[in-house]
Formats: sequence, structure tokens, C-alpha cells
Amino acid sequence: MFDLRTRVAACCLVAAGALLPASAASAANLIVNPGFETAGSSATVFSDTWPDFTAWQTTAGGFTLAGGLLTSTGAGSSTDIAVVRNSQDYQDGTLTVRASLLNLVPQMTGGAVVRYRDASNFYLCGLTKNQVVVQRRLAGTDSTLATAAYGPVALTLYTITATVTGSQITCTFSDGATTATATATDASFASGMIGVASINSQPSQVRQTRFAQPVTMTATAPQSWSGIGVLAGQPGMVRDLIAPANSGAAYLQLYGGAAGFSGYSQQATIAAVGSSTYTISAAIRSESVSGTAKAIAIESGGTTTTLASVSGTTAWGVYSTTFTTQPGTTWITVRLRLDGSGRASFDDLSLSLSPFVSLGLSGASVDFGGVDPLSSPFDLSPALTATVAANQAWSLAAQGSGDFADGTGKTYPLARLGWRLSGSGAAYTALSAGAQSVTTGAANTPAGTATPIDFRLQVTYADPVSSQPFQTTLTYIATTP
Amino acid sequence: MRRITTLLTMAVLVLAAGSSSALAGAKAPPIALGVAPSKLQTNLIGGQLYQTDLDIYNKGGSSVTLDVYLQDYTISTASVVEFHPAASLAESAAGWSTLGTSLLHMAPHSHQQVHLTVNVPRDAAIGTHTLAVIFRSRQLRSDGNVKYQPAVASLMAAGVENADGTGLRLKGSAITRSVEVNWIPLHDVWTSSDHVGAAIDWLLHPTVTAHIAIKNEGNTFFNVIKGGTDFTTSVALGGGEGRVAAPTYTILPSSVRSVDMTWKDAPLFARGDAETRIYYNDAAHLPVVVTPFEIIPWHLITVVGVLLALFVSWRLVRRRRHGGRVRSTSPVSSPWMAPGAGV
Repeated sequence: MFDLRTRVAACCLVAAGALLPASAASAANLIVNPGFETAGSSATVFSDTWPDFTAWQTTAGGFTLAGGLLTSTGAGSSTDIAVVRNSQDYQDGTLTVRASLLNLVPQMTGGAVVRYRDASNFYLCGLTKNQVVVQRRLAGTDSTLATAAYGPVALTLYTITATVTGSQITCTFSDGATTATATATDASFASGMIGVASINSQPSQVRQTRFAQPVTMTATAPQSWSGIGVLAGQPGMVRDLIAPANSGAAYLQLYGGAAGFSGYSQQATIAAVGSSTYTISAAIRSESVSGTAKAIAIESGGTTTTLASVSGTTAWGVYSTTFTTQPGTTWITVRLRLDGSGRASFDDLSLSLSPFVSLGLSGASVDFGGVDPLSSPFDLSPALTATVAANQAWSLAAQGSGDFADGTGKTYPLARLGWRLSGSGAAYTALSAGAQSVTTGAANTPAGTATPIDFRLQVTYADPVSSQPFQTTLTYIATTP
Repeated sequence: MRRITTLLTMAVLVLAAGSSSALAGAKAPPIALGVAPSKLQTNLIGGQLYQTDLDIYNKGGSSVTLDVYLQDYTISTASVVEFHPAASLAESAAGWSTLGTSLLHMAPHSHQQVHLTVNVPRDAAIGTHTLAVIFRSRQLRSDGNVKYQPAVASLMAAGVENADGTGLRLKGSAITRSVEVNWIPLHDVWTSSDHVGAAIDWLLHPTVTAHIAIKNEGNTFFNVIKGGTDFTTSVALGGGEGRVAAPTYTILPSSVRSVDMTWKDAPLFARGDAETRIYYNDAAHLPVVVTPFEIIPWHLITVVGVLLALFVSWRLVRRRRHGGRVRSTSPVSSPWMAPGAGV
């Protein structure tokens, strides 16, 4: 009578169910910009010093590589084109090449190729004998879109940059002292490969362009992600908007031109805690990957965990794995990596503390010994201690497997057995074959919560007698609901 | 004499054997299982493949054999996970899923991984599909009447959406069913080992509990990432304000979850508001609900009232008794000699 309660505002304040604007999250994602939707600053996404030609493919004419210098064949009335293998998803960016015309003559253009679709469709930022030109080849027909005058010297290397932003193509010539810029607007090609080309329109003379290393492509990297990291060969990367992403509009693509290539983009030094369990997940798609596409979690101490090893050609698949950090781990670097040739796309990265639950029982069974109705009920206090540790809200439930049975066909109801939390003073709850909540709790790792449980067994004169022990099995199951 | 000695020796041996067996029973290593992640959550599209590794831990000192199997599940309003046969529920993902193994033999203090593959059919219904991966110990002692099977489960919720990312609707709300001010019952004062402390709690220390129902009316799950109830007061005696964090539950579609958030350091007397804000991701929350409450120290008032009543009654009784003598008209003779009194 003294358990007074003040029930104030018993009227329920109801907020109507609202359609919520933002997506739900399963746990705090430690990765920034996990879907690559946010563009960051410009970074190097491809670079080649031409130790070999393995990153490239010749799509027209021919080239000779010697001493880091690439020279077009330059046959009469021909085009020599070489493009970076598997680079077809570039849209905006700046390609920088160093080039010189070996012959300062008319009917000759050589330079950087962007948004290359095929040998009949691309943009060329080229040098002629007295101009820097923005040239378009559309369905095999060349058109000059813009020009700027300059005065080159034969056999002298000049820097040519081709910058494409939306429908604007800007070609810049520089000799280190002076520059010339030609800008055109054209929307014929929205994306394509990068490369170099030399067009000789003079039918009877060899006219060549020589290209010198390095060839560098810079473009907007996803915010909080690095530019291309090179482990072997000349791999590249694209913040990609071409094919459908796993979600949203953007994803990250790594590409390689040869089997021995290995490259990555990463988000470095994500703060982490030692001796903790993390889950890393990613959506990965592969196109003609000769090696493997994978995501790697690299701990500050050097321990690595590899998520997936995708090869060949696969649609978007979602992969996840769990790992426990080393005791001294303070950060984790998440690295997306492609080994080999082909194209690997990554989207929807996630690194989060893994939901975890554990259940410990103090024993495997209890024995009431011989029981009889006269001495009933039989109490065991506590009969069992269940310890649950979880880093999320948790629930412990108990479920009976069936009635007590002696193995000879005699049974009595499971409900003869009751339970309660030790010390609660509550009435005993009869066990059943359905799940019963034993207790719930908030996150409690690492110590966990020990829950002692009392049992009461009450047999009656109606229950069968047997010389064999009656047994039943209880399943205790811990979850994080 | 020799026979008596032999019997005594045997008795001692029997007792010793009994003791050692009891000791062995007491030292039986506990069974302890763990699973990570205990929740698997992802969004998928029809035709997509989802692959993951589940980490299972045997933290106990004994080898265990585990059955690994799939079940469907539901979660009750009271957060009880109820398991159902695999593929028995309409929203089940069990039919699409395969496990790398159905049996694990685990050494003490060891860890293994189980591979789970979910192959979403191209015509899978848009919405949330669920699945439980259960790891249940097979190790049972043959003796004993009641045998235990510890188990842990990893609960999967997969939102199946259209290829363009549409189809999943996140719609939820939080409802304050009531805000209760509770005082410990008098029974607890009597049964407590610390009567004085319990009596003080009974008099001065209430708790305020906001009973919240979190509803999911959409077709995709969401999680209670953070948030809770802020208890603030406009008038208070003996305290100020408090915050109680909400439990990190997963709210499945078309379900309601009851969450009680109890402010244990509530003031003795107060008028204020309980404001519940449930975040379903780092920055976004369900519509906020605010409910007023009042704390009135009924126990204290009752005790003071009773004491006052007793005091007043005592005063009245005393006055009545004392006043009767005062009002007596017959003078009381002095034991001392009155002036003029003759000897």
C-alpha cells in the first residue's frame, strides 16, 4: 500500500509515423565517404615512366619504345594511337604528356588523347607545326575545335596538357617559359580512355611524334581516399560514375593493364581500438580481373585482414568479414587493391565495431536426484549462472526441448520445472517449449553480466515413476536483438 | 581391532573419493560461446550475391561440438527473439542462404569462421528479409535431470531494394506510452540488508521511467544507433536533469519495440519533461516526443503527515490531560507555611 506511484501524463503523446529522409545505419561506419559519392581534391590517378609498354595498347598504327621515349611509326596517311589499357571510364581530368614533333611540317598533329572511345572517336590535344589544337575525331572525321598559336622547335620536348571538364576541352602547350591555351566546348564524348596519338595526313612521307615520360593523369579522387598507390606496374584508378553503382551514383574503380600490376587506393589511419572485433564489408565488381580484387584492413602494427578475393568477371557482390584487432592497434588503414589486369570496382565500404555476443553457462546440467511428490517442491538456488557479454543491447532467452522423459516412454510435463532470477523473490515461471525471456541488458563488454537462475521442480502423484532418471534439455540462447 | 581399523580406513577413502568427485564437479569448466557479428545487416538487390564470414568463439575450457543451422526469427515487443523453422516465414531469407558447414568441432579457447552465402533471387520481394544463424552446443553430460545447451545467434536483416536503390521505405516513430515516477516499495525496506539506506531511498529517491514504444512502419529495418530520453526539470528540489541512453536495438519492419528508460537520480520533487530522441543513423533521428512529468514525494509527505498528526494528537492529549489539572478550581495547598499561618 506504500508503493505509491505517480502516473502523470498517462495520456500518450504520439508522434505520427514519419517517412524518414536519411538511410538507416547498422552501426557507426568508421570509413568516411564510404560510397565515394563526395568528390575530393585532385590526385594522381595514373602515371607511367615507360619502363615498358605493358600498360598500353596500340589501337592504330604503331610505336617504338626505347629509353623511355615512345616514337610513333608515322607512316603516310595514318594515325598512330596508343591508349592506356582499361582506362575507359575517365570523364574529367588532366592528362599531361611530353611530346615533340620530329618534323615541323604541315599535315601533322601529335599529342594527348582523352575520352577515347575507339580509333574513330576521340579528342586530341595536339601540336602542329605552329599551333596547339583541340581536335575531335568523330566517326573517323577530324575536326579542329580550337587553336592557339605557338612557335615550336623541332625535336624539342614540350609539355601538353589535355584538361576535360564536362563539355569543355582545354589544351595547353608549355615550353617552360611560355604557354598557349586552346579551349573548345563539345559534348560528343563524355568519357573514354586516355592515350597519345600522332596523325600524319601527308600520304607519302613519314612524319613522327616522339613522346617522353612521364605520362600523368590527374583527376578528382573521392574525398578522404588516396590517389593511386603503386605496388607493381602502372595501375590506375577512377572515381567512376559510368556504370550503375552498387548504390548511389559513384564508386571507385582500379584498373590494370597487365598481370603483374598491383595498385590500390586507401583511406589511412582510421582510429581503432586494440583487442576489439571489427567488421569490414564492401561491394565489389570485377571485369576480366586476372588476379584478385580485394579490400584489406591493415592495422597499425602491420597485421592485415583480407576481405574477398574476387577474380574474373562478376556483378556487384557484397562481401564482409570480421576480425579482432591486435592489442596494440591504434588505427586501421582500409586499402582497396587490384592485383593483375582488368577492372575492379568498389562501393559501399564499411568498417565498424562488430556486434558481438557471448554466453557462458556455469555448468552443463543440474541433477535433482531422486524426487517424490511428498518432498516436492525441490529448489536449487542458484541452479545455474548464465553470463552474457555483448557490445550491444542483448537478450537471454530459455527454451525447453520437450517434456521430461526417462527414455522408456514415460514422461512428465516440462512445466513441472520453474525458474526465476535468483534473489528476485518472484514466483517461479514454468518452462515451456517456446522461447521465454530470461533477462535483457545494455552493452556490457568486456565484463559481462552474470545472471544466477533458480530452479524449482514440482512433481505430483500423477507423474510416472521410473527407476531411470527423467531428463530434459534447455537451450539458453543469447542474441543482440 | 584390525577389522575396525580397516573399516575406518575404507570410510576415510570413501569420503575422500566423494570429496574429490564433488571437487571435480565444482571445477568443471564453464561453457562459453561467442559470435561476431551478432547482427548482419545489409542492403541487397535481386540477383546479388552476399558472402560473409561469421566468427565463432569457444571461450570455455572444454572442447565443444556445435551445430550450425539456419532459422527464421521474429523479435517480440519485449525484445525476445523467437525462432521458427527455416523458411517458414514469408520474409525469410533462409531459402536463399547456405552455410559453409553445419558442424563445428572447437578446441578450448579457439576461434573458427563459418562462411555464409546469400544468393538473392532476381524476383525477390522488395523489403526486409531475415535469417538467423544459430550456433548451438551439442555437448551434453549424460547425467543430470536438466541439461543445458548454450547457443548464440547471428541475426541477419537484409533490405532487398530495386537496382536503382529505390523500394525501401524508412518510416518510424517513437511514442511515449507513459512516464512513471516510482518509489521503492516498503517491502524492500524491510527486506534490504541496508535498512537505513533503503528507508532513505523510500523517502527521498524516486526513479522516473519513460515507457517508449518504437514503431517501424516502413519496409526496411532500422537500428537505434544512439539517443535516449533527456529528463529536464523546470522546478526541482534535490537534483537537476538526467539522460538515459536507449538500448541499441534493431527494429524490424511492421514491429513495435517497448523500451523503458529509467532516470535513477531523479530529484525529490520536480516538474519537468521527458524528451525522447532516437537516432537511426549518426545524424538523423525519429520525430522527438516530449512528455511532462511531476515528482511528488508522497512517502515523505505521508510520513511527515503521519508524524505531524501524531505530534498534534500527542499535544492534544497532553494538553487535555494537562489542561484538566490547570482548570481545576480547588486550590492546591502549599507545603510551605502560608503567611499568617499559626503554629
